[in-house]
Amino acid sequence: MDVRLTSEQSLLRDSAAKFVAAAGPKVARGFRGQSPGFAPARLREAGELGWLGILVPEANGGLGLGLTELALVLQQAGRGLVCEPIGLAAISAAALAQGPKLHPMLERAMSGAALIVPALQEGAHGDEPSAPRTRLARSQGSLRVTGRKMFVCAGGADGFLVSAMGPDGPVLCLVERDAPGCMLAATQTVDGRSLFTLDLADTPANLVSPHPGSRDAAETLHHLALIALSAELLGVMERAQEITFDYLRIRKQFGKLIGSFQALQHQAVNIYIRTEAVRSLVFQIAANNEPFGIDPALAIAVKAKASEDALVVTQTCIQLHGGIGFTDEHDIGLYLKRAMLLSSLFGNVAAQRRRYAAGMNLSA
Amino acid sequence: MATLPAHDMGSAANAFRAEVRTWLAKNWTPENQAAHRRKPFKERGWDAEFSKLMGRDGWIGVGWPRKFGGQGCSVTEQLAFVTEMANSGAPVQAHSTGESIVAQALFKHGTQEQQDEWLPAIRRGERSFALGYSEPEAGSDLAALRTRAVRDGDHWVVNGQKLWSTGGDKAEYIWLAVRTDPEAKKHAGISVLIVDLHSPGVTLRPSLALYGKTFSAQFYDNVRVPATNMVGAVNDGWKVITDALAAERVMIGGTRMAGIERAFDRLTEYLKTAVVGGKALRNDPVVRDRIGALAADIEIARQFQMRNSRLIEQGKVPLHEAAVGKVFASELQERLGQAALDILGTRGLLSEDAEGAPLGEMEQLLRHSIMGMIGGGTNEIQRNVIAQRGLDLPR
Repeated sequence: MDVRLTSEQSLLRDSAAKFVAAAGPKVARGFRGQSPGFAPARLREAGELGWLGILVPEANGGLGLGLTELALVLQQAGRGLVCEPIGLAAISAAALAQGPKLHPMLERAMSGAALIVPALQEGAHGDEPSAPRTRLARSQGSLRVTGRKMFVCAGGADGFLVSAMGPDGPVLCLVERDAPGCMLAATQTVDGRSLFTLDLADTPANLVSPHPGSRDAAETLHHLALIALSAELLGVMERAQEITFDYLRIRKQFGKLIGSFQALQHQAVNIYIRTEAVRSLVFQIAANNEPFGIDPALAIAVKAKASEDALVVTQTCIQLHGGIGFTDEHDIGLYLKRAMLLSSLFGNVAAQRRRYAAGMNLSA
Repeated sequence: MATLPAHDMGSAANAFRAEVRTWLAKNWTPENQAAHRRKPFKERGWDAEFSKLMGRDGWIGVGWPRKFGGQGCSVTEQLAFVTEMANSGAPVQAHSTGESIVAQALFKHGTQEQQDEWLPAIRRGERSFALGYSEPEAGSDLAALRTRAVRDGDHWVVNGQKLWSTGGDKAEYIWLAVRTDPEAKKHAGISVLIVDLHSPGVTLRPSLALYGKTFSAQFYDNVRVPATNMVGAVNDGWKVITDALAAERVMIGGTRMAGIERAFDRLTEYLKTAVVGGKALRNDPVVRDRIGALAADIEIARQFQMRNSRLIEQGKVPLHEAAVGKVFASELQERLGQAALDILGTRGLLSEDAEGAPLGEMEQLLRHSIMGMIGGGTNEIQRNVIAQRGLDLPR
């Protein structure tokens, strides 16, 4: 089941696949426990290829493309267990470019010279993006932000896009890593990468202008993140299942290829169907939504679906491998761990469903 | 919400469980527990000194027949014991394989000399074992194993490779399944040897499993093993292996259930205070539904275990019944792991060694559950057993 692509989109996908060929499980393994857990030079390479500015209008130096193109690149990144935070950097660059005035940081963010990542999450259970507890206030003529952000992918970052409640409602602001009152504390995750708690105490911040058509810039960035993570999860599940099906084609037990056993065939088909469902949802939503005007219900739905199915698919992949899949040496476990990380960032399936129900006024 | 209701295992087993608790309160103190938790995650669960302490006080081999120095406890009492030990989180892995698999085989297939040599040492907590079963080409199809043992005078000479031996990097001895007759039909040419892992020619390659603990591969290069270390007759090893497994399956289930009960209690403990979006998470109807379903399944899994232990007490060997228990409990553990990740949110991701990892090792539960669904015969193999032996469906 192929998504129908234009020739430009196919070219983009192929160039992303080429980039990913130099990544993969072996490289990802090498970054476990490292700081930062990726290669800055590779991030700059992604910048040179234009991907970090993929959503930025051409007039501002970006590629001016849409969500389908973003998803195509991130799907490849997921397949290759790419450790460079291409998705987070690309949506952050997009956020910096959405206002009427060019943000001074935009050019460096697009080239990969500076890494800016979102810092939106405040709790472990997903957030209402338009109701941050972090506060923005004006003091002595400058803007200051105070609060705590959780689970920030802050490794190697130079700045953060922080959501905060300002005097007139929710806003997005840029906080530099070295700004006074900005503190980071790392915690190790299952994936071998660190997530950070970002504490801000009266820290200088710059306001990021919202897109003229959107409610607020924080919410826009949050929904972009949900789509970006879903596309990456799709790549993770897709590649994990390919590795697994290849194994079913060569592994023999009881004198037969284990792929010939119906019990395993049916499980293989079940994960195939789940993966196709996520693919279809990701690309339909990408095709039908503008980057700065994503329907919240759809963004939530796709993150819920991708988060749930990526875990089921990668766990089943390990089960289909049997004992070898349970070793740390085998690559298939890396896909489960990456799926666990991406599924839970910006809210796991339970958090998304809770927010969906709240949005539909279905909550108790 | 409170913790799970106590599991009523009958008056004798309940009383025995109370004795175990009293001993644990004295010997597995909060200080011991804190010290144990300070070890890296992969080192936890294995503690030779604690095994010796248990041995000193007679807690190893409680289910062994009295003539071998055991307490002759009933199967249900043993189940109460292993469940309680596992619930306490006390480290038992240094002696558990010897106490269970190896001892069971020695009771039935060991010579007098072998029983005298090995059983008292195991009971004192002074002998640790790993299992050497799986090989690169022999996973689910265990009888396809190729590691060779050839007789040479008073010794067997072993060559080959084993995989995925839990504790294989720490144990002193390995319970090794070897092929002694390559000409015989698959199941017929297998024998069992006890091999000193420090023997010349043994190379260990420890590695990490997905759930963050170690296991090891071993390479055997002309390893000489005294012929007196063969348990059971030459080429009769398949029977030795399956007898020991059948006797132990129920106890293994007890350990798994304990992990499940402990994790469930921690999850409900967390729910007592968790607030999301200004509301108590415990009042979320979806969370309540999930917790209720899990609690019901835990009761069911306990009942499956009780049924199996009663069958053994009646002198029967639960085969497909044990497989039902294993499939149900391991898949329940997976559901519990998923529920925990959903309920804990992003915090559930922190690695087992992370400072402030919530409720101790929750995300690890999900990864550990995969081991339950693969180890000891995959759930696919268990389902074959249930379909063919239990339901009498055609092969």
